[in-house]
Amino acid sequence: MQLFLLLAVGAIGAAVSAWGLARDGRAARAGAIGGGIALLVLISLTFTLDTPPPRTIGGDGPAGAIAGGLFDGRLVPTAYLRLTLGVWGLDAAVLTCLGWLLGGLPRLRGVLPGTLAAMTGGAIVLASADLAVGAAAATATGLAALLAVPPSRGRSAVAASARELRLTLAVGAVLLAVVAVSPLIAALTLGAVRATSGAVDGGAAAATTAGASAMLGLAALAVTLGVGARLGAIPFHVRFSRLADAATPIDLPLLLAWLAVPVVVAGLAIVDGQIAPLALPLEGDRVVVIAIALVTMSGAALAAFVQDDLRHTAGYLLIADGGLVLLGFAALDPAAWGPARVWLVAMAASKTALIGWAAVAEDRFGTRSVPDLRGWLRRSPILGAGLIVTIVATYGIPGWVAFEARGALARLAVDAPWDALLVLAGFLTLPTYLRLVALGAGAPTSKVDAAAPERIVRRRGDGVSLLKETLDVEREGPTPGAPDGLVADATLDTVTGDAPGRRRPALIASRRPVTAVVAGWSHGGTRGAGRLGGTLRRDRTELLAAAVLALAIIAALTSWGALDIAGAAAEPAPIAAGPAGD
Amino acid sequence: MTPVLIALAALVAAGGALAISAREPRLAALGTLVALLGSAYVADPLPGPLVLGARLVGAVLAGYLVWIALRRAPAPLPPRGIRVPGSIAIAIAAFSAGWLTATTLAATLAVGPGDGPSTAGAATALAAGSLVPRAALGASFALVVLAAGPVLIARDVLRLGLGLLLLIAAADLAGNALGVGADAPADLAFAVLTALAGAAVAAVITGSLRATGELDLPRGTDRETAVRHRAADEAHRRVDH
Repeated sequence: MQLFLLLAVGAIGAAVSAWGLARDGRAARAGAIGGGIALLVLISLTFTLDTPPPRTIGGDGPAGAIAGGLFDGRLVPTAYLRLTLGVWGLDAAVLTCLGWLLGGLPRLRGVLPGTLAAMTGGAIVLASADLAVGAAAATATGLAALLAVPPSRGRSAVAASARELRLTLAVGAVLLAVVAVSPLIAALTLGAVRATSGAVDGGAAAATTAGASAMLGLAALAVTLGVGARLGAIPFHVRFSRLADAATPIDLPLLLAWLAVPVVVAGLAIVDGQIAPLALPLEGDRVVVIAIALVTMSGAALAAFVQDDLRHTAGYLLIADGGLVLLGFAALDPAAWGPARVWLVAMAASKTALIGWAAVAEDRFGTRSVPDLRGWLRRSPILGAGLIVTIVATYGIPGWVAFEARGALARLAVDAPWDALLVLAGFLTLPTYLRLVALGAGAPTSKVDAAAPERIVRRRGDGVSLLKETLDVEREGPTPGAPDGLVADATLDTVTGDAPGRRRPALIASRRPVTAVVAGWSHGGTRGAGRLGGTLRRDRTELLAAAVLALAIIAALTSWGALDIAGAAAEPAPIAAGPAGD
Repeated sequence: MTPVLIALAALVAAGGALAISAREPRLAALGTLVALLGSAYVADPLPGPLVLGARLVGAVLAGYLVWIALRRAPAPLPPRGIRVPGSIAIAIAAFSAGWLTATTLAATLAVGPGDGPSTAGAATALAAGSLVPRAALGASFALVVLAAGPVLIARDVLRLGLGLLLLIAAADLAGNALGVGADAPADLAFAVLTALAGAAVAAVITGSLRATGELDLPRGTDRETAVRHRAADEAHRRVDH
C-alpha cells in the first residue's frame, strides 16, 4: 500500500507540476508548490517504506508488496529501492532549490516534473518482480527526458528531444526483445547441452549449443550497448555534448545521470539474471565490452581534460565514470550485481553534485569557459569545498563502498594483473578535477573578479544594520526599463556601505539578471513572501554555494556507504528473482 | 482463428510499410496505428479480455495523439526514401525471413520427446506447431527492417517517431512469438508504454511544427557558443583604479 501511495504521489505531483509550470503566474506557483510538496512526500514515503527481507523463491508475497489485482506480488519494495529513491529524492530537493535560486520558476519547468515522473518510473523498475514490466517501465522512465527538454523550446530543443526519444525507445525495444527471446535461447542452450551429454545426435546438439550461445552473446552485447548508449559511452558520447548545450544546467543531472539508473538496473537484471548464470563461454563478447569500457574511461577522461567548456567537461567526467558501470556487464557474473548497483548510485549522486557545481559556477561567473574561471576558488570558498567533497565522493577512500566497488568491478571483469589497468583507467579523470582546483587557486580573471563574493560575514558600513540591509534589498525593485533583478548601482553602494561610484564586485555581479522569480516573490506575493524573497536575493550567492555543498555531502555519504547501501545493492532484487509464488 | 491471426500479422506488416513510406502524414499515422493495434492480437493463445482491452486503449491513445499532432503538418511530405511499393516488397521479404526463422526454431524444438531441449515454457505454441507464432515473428522481422532506416538515418521527426513506435510493436510481436506466454502485468505495462511512447512522439512532432513549421529534423541547431575567444585583457587580473 505504501508503494502504491508512493507511485500515486509521484505521478500526481509530476502531472500537477508539469501543468502548472508550463504556465505563468499563479498557475506556475501552484504547480511549483504542488510539485515541491509531492517531492517532499515522496522522500518521506521512501524513507519510511517497509522493506521486507529478501523472500525465498516460491514463498508467500512479502509484506509491503502490492497485493491483489493485476500486480499481485509483482511490485515489491526493497532496501535498494528505498536507498536509491531516497538519495535521488534528496538530490532532487536540493536541485529544485538550486534551480529556483538560479532562475526562478521557469528553471523548474523541466527539473521538477521530470524528476517526479522519472522517480515514479524508477520506483516501478526497482520494485518490479517481472523483467518485462521492469524493461517497459525503464523505457517509459526515459521518456521523462522530454519533460526536461520540451521540444517546444526551439530548434535545438526539437533536435535534442528527438535524440532522447530515439535513444529511449530504441534501447527500450532492445531490452524488451531480449527479455522476450532470451528464455527460449537459454533453454535451447541448456537442452542441447543435455542432449550432447546424453550422446543423442551429438553433432546437431553441439551445433545448437554453439548457435544459441552466440545468440545469447549477441543479446548480452545488445543490452550492454543499449545501456552504454544511455550512459554516453564512446561512440555514443556526442549526444551528451549536444544535450548539455540544449538543456538548462539544472536539468542535466536528471538527463545525464539519474535517467540512466532504471535502464542500467533493468539491463543488469537481464544479463545477470538470464545470461550470466548459464556460465557460457562468451569471451569474445566480454572482450568487446571491456574494450568499450576502457576506451570510454580513458577517452572521456582525456576529452574532459582538454575541454574548455564547463558543461562539456562535466558531461565527459560523467561518461568516464559510466565506463565503470559497463564493467559490471562485462563481468557476466552475478557477483557483479552488487558492486555495479552501488557504483551506479554513487556515480549519479557524485555527478549531480559536480553538475550542480558547474551550474552555479557558470551562473556566478557568467561564463562556461574553463580558462575564464581562473581564480574562482579564491572568490568562492564554500563552492570550492563543494567541489573538493565531490571529488572525494567520486573516488572514495579505501573502505568506502564506492572505492571498493571500483576495485570489485575491475577484478570481476578481468583477471590480475589487468584489473589494475582498469582501476587505473577509472582514476584518469583525476587530472581534470585537479585542473579545476588548481585553476581556481590562480589569479582571478576579470570575470571572476567581477563576480559577487561569498560573504559569510557581511561587510556593512557604519550604521547600516543587517535589518536595514534586508529592508533596503526588499525595497529595491527592478530598475525601470531594466530586466528583472537588475538593481540600481547607487542603492547597492548604500547597502554595502561603499563610497558612491566605487563598484564592488558584488555590485557588478548584480547587473546580471538575478531571478525573475525571486523578484516575483518579493513584489507580487504577500509581505512575508516578499521579505523572504528579499532575504534570499541578498544571500543568493551563499545559498547557491551551500546547496552545492549539500549535494556534495549527500554524494559523499552515498560513496561512504551510509544506510548500508552495499548490502542493499547486493540483495537479490525481485526483478531478478521473479514474482512471488512462482 | 489461426487464418485470421495470420492475416492480421500480414496487415501489421502492411501497416508498417505504409507508416514509413506514405507521403500523406495521416496515412502514415494510420499505418502505425494498425501495426500497434494488431501486434497485441497476433498471439497464441490470445490474452484475456481485460488485457486485450488495455492494449486496445493504449494503441488507440498512441495513434490518436500522433493523429492530432499532425493537424498542421504539411501534406504531402516531400518525396524521400523508399516509396510504398518498395517498402511493401521489403516487408514481404522480411516477413518471409521471419517466418522461415520461426519454422527452423520450431523444427529444433520438435526434435523429439526426451531428445530435444526443454524450452521451460517459452515458445510453447511454436513448439506445438502453431502457425501464429511464425506469423508473429514474420511481422516482427518486417517491422524491424522497415523501421531501421527511419530510426538510424532520421531525417524528419514523423518518420523517426513512427519508426520507433514500430520498433516497440516489433518487440511485442517477438514476445508473442517466442516468449514464455501471456502475462497480464507485462501486457498492461506494454499498453502504458505504448500510450506514453505515442504521447512522446506526438509532443516531438508538435514541438517541431511549432518551432520550425515543418517536420524536418533540425540539423544546424542554434547551439549556444560556449567557449569563445577571449579578449586580450580577460586572462589578466582586473585592476581597479
